[in-house]
Amino acid sequence: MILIHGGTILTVTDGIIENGSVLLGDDGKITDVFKEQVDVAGATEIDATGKYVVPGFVDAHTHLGIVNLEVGEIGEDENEMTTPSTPGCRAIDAVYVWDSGFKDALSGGVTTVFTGPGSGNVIGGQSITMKTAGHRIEDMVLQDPAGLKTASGENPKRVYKGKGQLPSTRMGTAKVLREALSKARDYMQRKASADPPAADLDMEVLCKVLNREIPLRTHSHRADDIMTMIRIRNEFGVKMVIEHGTDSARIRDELARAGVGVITGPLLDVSPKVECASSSFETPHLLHKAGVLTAIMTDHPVIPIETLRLEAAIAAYEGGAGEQEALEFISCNPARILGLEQRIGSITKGKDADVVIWSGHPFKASSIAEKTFVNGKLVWEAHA
Amino acid sequence: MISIAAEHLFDGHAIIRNANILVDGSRIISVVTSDGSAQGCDYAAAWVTPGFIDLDSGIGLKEESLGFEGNDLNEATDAVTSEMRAADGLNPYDTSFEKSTMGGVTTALVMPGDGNVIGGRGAVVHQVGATIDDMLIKEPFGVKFSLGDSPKQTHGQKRTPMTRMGNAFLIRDVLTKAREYGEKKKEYNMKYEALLPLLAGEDIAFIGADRADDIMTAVRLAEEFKLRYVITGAFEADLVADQLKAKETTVAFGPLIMSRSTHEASHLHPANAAILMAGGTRTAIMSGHPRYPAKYLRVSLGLLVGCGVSPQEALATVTAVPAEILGLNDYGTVRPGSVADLTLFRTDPWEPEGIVEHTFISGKEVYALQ
Repeated sequence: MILIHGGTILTVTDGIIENGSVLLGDDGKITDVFKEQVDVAGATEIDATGKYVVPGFVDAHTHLGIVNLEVGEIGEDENEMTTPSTPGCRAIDAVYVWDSGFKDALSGGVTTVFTGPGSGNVIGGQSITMKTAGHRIEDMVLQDPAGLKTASGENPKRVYKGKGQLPSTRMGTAKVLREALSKARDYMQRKASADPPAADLDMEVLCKVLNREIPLRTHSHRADDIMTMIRIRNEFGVKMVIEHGTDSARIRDELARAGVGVITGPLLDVSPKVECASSSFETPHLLHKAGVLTAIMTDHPVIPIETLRLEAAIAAYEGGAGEQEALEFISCNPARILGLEQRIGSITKGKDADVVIWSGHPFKASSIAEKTFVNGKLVWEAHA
Repeated sequence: MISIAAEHLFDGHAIIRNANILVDGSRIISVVTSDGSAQGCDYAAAWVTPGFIDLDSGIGLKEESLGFEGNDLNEATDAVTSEMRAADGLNPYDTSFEKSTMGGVTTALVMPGDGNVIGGRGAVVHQVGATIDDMLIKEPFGVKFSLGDSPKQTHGQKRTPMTRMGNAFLIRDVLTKAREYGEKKKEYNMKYEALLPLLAGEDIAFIGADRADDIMTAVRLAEEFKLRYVITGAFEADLVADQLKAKETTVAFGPLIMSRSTHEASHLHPANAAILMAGGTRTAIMSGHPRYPAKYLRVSLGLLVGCGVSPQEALATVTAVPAEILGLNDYGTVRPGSVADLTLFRTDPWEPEGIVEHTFISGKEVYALQ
């Protein structure tokens, strides 16, 4: 047992506690949260006086470990761009847990990520959610598959236009996705018949989408691309999360009505493409205000995973969100989008003991994550 | 006349508590300490600093939200293009200029990209203007050199350089020929002409080098040709900090925030810049725009502060130090006679919370927080 006492506890979902205590159990869960400083017999004590005690952050859209740092092209395993629809491809087979980006995540207080295929294909493959500490992916994974990556807009059409293949237009992109879901619907019906089809790995995962077991995680920047994806969602009755949503503020009321979550970002970059022109730190707050479940991503390695907190900080002070709401964008909100709100995203009794001790408020650029705990174990310590 | 009351004034060197700044036209005419009262002042701010100066930026040359249409960084049809001038490719209407003023940046040294071993000559510009002429402070100024992988990747399949040896060869070759050209002046040669001020010690080489060995190649080449030079990027400069100190090398480090996606960036960490500074190397910090947005240069300084660099040292890396490197004596400081490029902040400029409230260029307000 580890008892962190003193300091300012940002529980996220249950207010701010000054000079309280958090008890991390040997079972990897938060045993209890106290409003005052307490003694617990047998617990290893850590004095956090003057520091901030914060839940591990959740980055719900990354390519951590599937795009390796430091090695350039050799480490890029996110896009199987040999054909525009590759639902059978699985991130778990490509995520390199020794990639130094995982240490970066811990140094930035990020303890859970959603990681997976990129946006080169219309259907990129199956993503996973995982903790950022560990040496065996099987021990780190929380959800596999966590969602099926799909993409719209500029990327797939650029890739396949370059090869002289379909899709070379937005129409082509929508066709590829619609066709895959239609075939899967047919496959599912035939599977239940007396004459079942041969096993098809692509179709199997699309059936999970049609059965609403996993969402389509849909890369869309422009408002019309987002609406195209929502149209397809409605046609097939599938679950969907909008990724990036760069231009989503202008359709925020529609998004709220549709009940889809939006993971905005990356925000701390220079807009690289036409479809990203309206990128703004105000977008997450505007979405939230309209009633959309909203999170912020780094899209690591587009921007480094450890800067997730800086994006939230700028959204707080410059984007109008304020500190509490912006904290939610990188903790309990992405946890809800992932369907993991019972396990992660706040300092709450019974949740995973993913807790970070910061030298100061995590929204100060000059603060550092001094100690990061995942499942109750100390997995990162900053050098003094 | 404009009067500004500052709770904290960073004047380019030190932090002064409670100061009043008086601006007349485009210049600062007085800076006096006060009793903290802002009464009668036109503006009051928690923090005032000189406008930030961003070295070796691609702002305006690689325009935001555009593909090839807005990318004029590298004339990659040849690996040596000293005759190119950034001012001829820079678009004043790149939205990044306006955004950078919202982050307190008032001046940039805009340079061609790193695809060529010699990319061309730069332009020192203010961040606001309807035409490039309104923006220019100094042009042409600076010659962009690049070592390491980028020129190899840009050219290696078609022409030299394919290797680091090729990079150094091309630089040595053109500088040798330009020197001879300068002495004998035969047929007009634009490439060589562009290098003559540099060889005469009237211009400065900005040499992009990230890996420690490339940094030392840059030093070696600069010494061979007796060039005034600055190392830019410099991700591994901490590994050769002693040598750089001994040779009194100047470094423009950055960006501080960028994924270590390539081998050359594998060692990048804000602490490297802190080590360099602690060792006494003259160090500026740059955004490397568009690799990192110029608008948030200020926030990247917070990471330096987190590594133990004092706020005044951190702020100097984007004000007095780059002004000195550019030879702009009346920029990067807040003192009588300085050009009135000023930024007013809500709180500590290096923290996300310290958002910019007002930005002045040459005494004119170019940004005000709504």
